[in-house]
Amino acid sequence: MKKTLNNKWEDNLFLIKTNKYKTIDLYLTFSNEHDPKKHACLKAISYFLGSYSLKYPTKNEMHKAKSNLYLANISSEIDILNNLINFNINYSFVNPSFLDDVKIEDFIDYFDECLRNIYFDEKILVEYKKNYKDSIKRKYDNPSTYINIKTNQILAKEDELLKPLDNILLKEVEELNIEDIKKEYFNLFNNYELRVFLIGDYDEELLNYAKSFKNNRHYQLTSRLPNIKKHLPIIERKKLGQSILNVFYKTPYNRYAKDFYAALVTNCLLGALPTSLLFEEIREKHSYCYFIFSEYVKCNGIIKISTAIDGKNYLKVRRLIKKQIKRLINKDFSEHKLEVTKKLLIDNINQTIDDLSWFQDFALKSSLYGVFVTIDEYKEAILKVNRDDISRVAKNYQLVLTYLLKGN
Amino acid sequence: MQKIYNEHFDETYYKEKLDNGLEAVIFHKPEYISSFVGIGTKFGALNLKQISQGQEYHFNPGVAHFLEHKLFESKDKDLFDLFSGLGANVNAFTSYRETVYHFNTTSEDIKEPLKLLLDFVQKLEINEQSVEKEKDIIIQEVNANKQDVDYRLIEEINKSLFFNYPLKYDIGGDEETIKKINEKELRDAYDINYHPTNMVLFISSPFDPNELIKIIKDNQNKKAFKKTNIAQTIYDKENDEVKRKEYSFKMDISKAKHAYAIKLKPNFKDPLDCFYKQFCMNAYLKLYFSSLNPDYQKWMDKGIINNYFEFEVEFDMHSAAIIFFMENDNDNIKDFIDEQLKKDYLNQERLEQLIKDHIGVYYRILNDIYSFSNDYLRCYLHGYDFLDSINIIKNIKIDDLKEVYNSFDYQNYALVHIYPKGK
Repeated sequence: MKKTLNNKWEDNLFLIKTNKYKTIDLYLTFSNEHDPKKHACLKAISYFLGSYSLKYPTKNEMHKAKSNLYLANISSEIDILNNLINFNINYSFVNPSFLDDVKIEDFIDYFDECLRNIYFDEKILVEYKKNYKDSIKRKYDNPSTYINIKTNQILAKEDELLKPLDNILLKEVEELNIEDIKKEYFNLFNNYELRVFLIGDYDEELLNYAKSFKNNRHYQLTSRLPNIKKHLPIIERKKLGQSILNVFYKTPYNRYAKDFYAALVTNCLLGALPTSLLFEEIREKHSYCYFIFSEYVKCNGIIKISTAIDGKNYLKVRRLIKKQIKRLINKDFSEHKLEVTKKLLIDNINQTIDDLSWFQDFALKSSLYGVFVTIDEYKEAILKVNRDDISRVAKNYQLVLTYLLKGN
Repeated sequence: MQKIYNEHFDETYYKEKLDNGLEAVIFHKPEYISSFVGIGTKFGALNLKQISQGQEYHFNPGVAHFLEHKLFESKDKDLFDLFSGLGANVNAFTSYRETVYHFNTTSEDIKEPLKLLLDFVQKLEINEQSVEKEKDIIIQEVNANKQDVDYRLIEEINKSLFFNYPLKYDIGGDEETIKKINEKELRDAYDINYHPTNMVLFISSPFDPNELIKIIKDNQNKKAFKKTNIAQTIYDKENDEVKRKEYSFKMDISKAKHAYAIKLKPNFKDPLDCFYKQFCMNAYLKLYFSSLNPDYQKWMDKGIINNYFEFEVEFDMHSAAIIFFMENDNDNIKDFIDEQLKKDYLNQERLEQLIKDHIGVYYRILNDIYSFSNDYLRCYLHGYDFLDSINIIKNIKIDDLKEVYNSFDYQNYALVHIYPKGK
């Protein structure tokens, strides 16, 4: 099925030919239905990828190979959207036209070696498990990541759709063996849906290489919204100087919603910009915090508000958050404020055009959701959002979870 | 305007010093739609004791950061709102050595936000009431950092290293010093440090540089600036020894963390020499303590180090230190580092690989207007051109690394340990 995003899609291949950047970037996104074991395997594959291959079986040899290519970089990350797990591999290297001693074939050979000949070794798996456990401990030690883990675990229990939020997976990682990982690695190329992005001043050889990645599958991202029951406010005490507060609302507005753009603007107006209601009221007017922001999770319609405060002001801050949402419902904000919000949001979207990783993400999400609009269409839809739309959207904010990590 | 073409990176840029002393650097990027505009002053958290026109000033730690917060204030307008109305994202940061105010925009009109930036940075509108009000916000910002274990490790190691050098203070100060700051102190700091002669304006934009410089000149020519001598920062004499040799405390963490810092005597002729020596020291230590060293994997296998292990080389014109960070339940960080430093891991081939790594990083940074602009502006404020610096590192040899390494004395060190509660 051919769709267009500024006419850049060719089946599973998205191309931007430009000499704007000093690098060339190849992204591969592998998608499949999420399950915890798969997730754990992909985490492990991520550790091996770009660090150990048959030709470069130690970190030292791999580093040498990377350095000879001016730090050609392979990175990977895992991104969950509802029922889908996406394994994103980014290969970024300096355009060989700037270099005297490397050719495009060298870059292709290196990537192909790292991608197809990962060296899976028992000893390295032991090292990975140990490093993984240590990194999880560090997350628990840090109050900001600690509260994220706790709230994700609560939400994950609410609905199958939110289960992947609980991504610590210590048990699953501990139980991994090399055979499981190899099996999942084999699956990547045979049973995952694959999208390929090529951005930069690439030549025919690299284009043909990108085209060589064939896609065999399709996995549909669900448009279902999660069911989340309301929780009583939770206060957990910890030895901290400052308290951290996370507040969650559910809304019926995911990417597929008719009011998606209104939801996007509503969130910005609420707390995603320095001109937002939360920022102006809670920080600037009352000095209750240094930062406060709201995040809109487009795949499931959840709004998350985060801030760090003096614990003694918890109830006041909670009341003020509710008050700002009431202001949205009652249209208690000026037309000027709405226009300024839309202007900034549009500026942020415009910057996508210059930032190659944002652009790739925009294109990827369009394809994953199956909602293809050009950047201009996206902006036009934002500009049309009015105060009635904001009020309508805000009326459907339902508080589901308040979690305070309270310092002594 | 002076036009400069950097052949290595295929970048064209322009420089001009205005009549009032303000330096402007403009990168012409016609293929981008985003513009970045930043104006920086060489006034940061280290500049606590200054002399200007014969008068001495002693500022409280945190004053540069406090001033940054207050510059956004205006008697009769909301600056965030004004910038946002022009489609521009405005922000600022304070570091130890500079304060920078910046915006980025994709708007077709850069003139208005550019004028607005120059106008608000070049005028301080505060009163005692607004100063008092800001204190709570800043105290919260500073306190939030203190909950981070890595932040605490760096904070304590700096306190251990220095008797007098202001690196021992947090950029934002602390609750006690923040509460002491008043309107007069902020005005004094502003008057002697925010003069155009002490500042640099940086632009990366698709717009015509000639048009941009005209906008800047028109704006600046309408303003009068008091004649002033640039404030000189003076530093109290710093001992060669460390203040505190070993220090430990407990936090709510699962695994002990350690920092081992070696205090060096700074021997830098000028900022470029400082950059060169910092690079050489960094390269020297990378040949020992990164995966460029074949033994690195062995240390990982034996559990001597994990992925937390790293080091930093912190050089500036008045101080020098190298700091190692480790996470384990032994207190052997010093023994491990000292033992490895006795060996010879220097290798010309690996050095060349390292240099290629750095060249690759330069290219990557140039893709990101925001990161590049900040890096360039910060380097320029401190006396060297970021792009030219590649000419310095390209031809470095092993003997250069040895010469730099051997020019320092390594006997003065400090250790900090953070232990889990209950251990």
